[in-house]
Amino acid sequence: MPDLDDRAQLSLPVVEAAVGVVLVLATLSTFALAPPDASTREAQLDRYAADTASALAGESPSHGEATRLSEVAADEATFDRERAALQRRVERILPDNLLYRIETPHGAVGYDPPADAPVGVERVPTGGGTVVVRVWYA
Amino acid sequence: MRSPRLRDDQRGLTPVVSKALGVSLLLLYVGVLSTALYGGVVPDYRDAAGEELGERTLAGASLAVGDAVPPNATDATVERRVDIPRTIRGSTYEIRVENRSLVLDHPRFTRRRPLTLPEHVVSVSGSWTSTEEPVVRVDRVAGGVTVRLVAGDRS
Amino acid sequence: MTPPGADRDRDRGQANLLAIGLAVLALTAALGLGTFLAETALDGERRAAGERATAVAVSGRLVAADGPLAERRTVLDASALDAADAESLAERYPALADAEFRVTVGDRVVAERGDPIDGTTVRRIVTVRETESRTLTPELSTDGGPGVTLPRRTDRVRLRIEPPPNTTVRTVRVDGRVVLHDPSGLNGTHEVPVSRLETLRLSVDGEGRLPAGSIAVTYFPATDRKAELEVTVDA
Repeated sequence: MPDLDDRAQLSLPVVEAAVGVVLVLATLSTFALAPPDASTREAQLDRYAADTASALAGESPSHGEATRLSEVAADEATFDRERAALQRRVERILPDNLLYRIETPHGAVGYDPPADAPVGVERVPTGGGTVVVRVWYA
Repeated sequence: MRSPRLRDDQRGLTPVVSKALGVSLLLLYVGVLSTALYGGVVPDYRDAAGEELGERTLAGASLAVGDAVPPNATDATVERRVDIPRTIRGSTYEIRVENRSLVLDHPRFTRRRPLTLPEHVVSVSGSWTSTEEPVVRVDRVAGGVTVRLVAGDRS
Repeated sequence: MTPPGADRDRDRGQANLLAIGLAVLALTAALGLGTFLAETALDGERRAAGERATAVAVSGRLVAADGPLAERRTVLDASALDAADAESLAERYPALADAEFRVTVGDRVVAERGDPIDGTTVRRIVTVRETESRTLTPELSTDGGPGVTLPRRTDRVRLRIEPPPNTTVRTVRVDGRVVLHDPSGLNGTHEVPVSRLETLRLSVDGEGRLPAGSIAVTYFPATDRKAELEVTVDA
């Protein structure tokens, strides 16, 4: 018959101590692993959107584009005609790690913004309507 | 063959006493720790958290003041509301202007931060109490604009 | 005879106290770690908020239309970038006074003081505009005729008008629009803003002949390059 005295036994205080340490470490991990500040990222994206809007609105046509942003916003025919050119302009302006969507009263160019990530916004009132610039990290 | 051992009445401790000793040791430990924490570490951290909130508040306020200034060409008077917490570390405080810097005046600490403003700002003045609604008011004057910290109406 | 569990009780008693001692030790160590982490986290947060606000404010001033390096909103002048240095920036923006900072445009460091390793960075999208000046000295007719077409676009034109004797220059037109007019005759150097969005044709109205050299037309073609402005501040 197995000897009762030889049975191994886990000491309860050791278990209690282990649980206590795990609890403390779990609380501490909330300090160490704090999530990055989403509002900071959104503020930076808002700045990107504002700069993009400035660049689009005042762009030098030495590259060949003569259509102003206000004209693109005002007229559906102009928008349709200048859509591709607008897309090229934005893609030349933005750094590679950003995606965009430009909305005018007559339509939009770009990609679909994510629902769960920060998106920067800038609204540009032009003579022909409000243009909305959205940018986000790819 | 078992090794010789003590008789019953010569055992070091009974289980009950040993448990009681263990519990009281732990209670002692908790007591000492609580005293040490609440006496020293916790107030220090509350102060540090308060100062950190103060620093963030001051940084946010100085950005808001800078943002409120319109480019030199526009004529409009600007009034912009600013968000600051009503109390920090349980006390109200003041934010005022000294020498084109913002100073956060709190009973426990003071922080100062120079303002970053465009050149056409002629003067900056005024102060806020954290209990009132803080408003930045920019008015056009000869040669530029003035910036004032005023209390807004609660609406 | 001792009951079979007695020995175990005594051993367990000692092991209890030992375990309690170890538990206390472990908890104290965890607490010490927690204190250290909290201290580091708070300290880092405090500095970061101030650094970010400074970087945002300075980058905002640099891209503004009235900024020291800007030609217009979000357009920076290449020669101003060449001339920029950390001392003048720190003097202009006292928030940078006690900090180490770096301003880069594209890959080029525009101004740097110290080494802002742990700093906070704010980025803006800008255009770097390099402007040069070119001068033409064409022969022009004074009857408002064909005039001269400027080969590159420019936002302003500088005219040096030195008509020979018996010649009067009364009006200068750009694309048909009158930019200079003086019924008694134009003379000297005048600078005229024009639209950068169009190719420009210059024509002159007056009397007499204008051989080459009597009118010098200086224009300022610009090359634009997109870049990112980065301001990093380490307080």
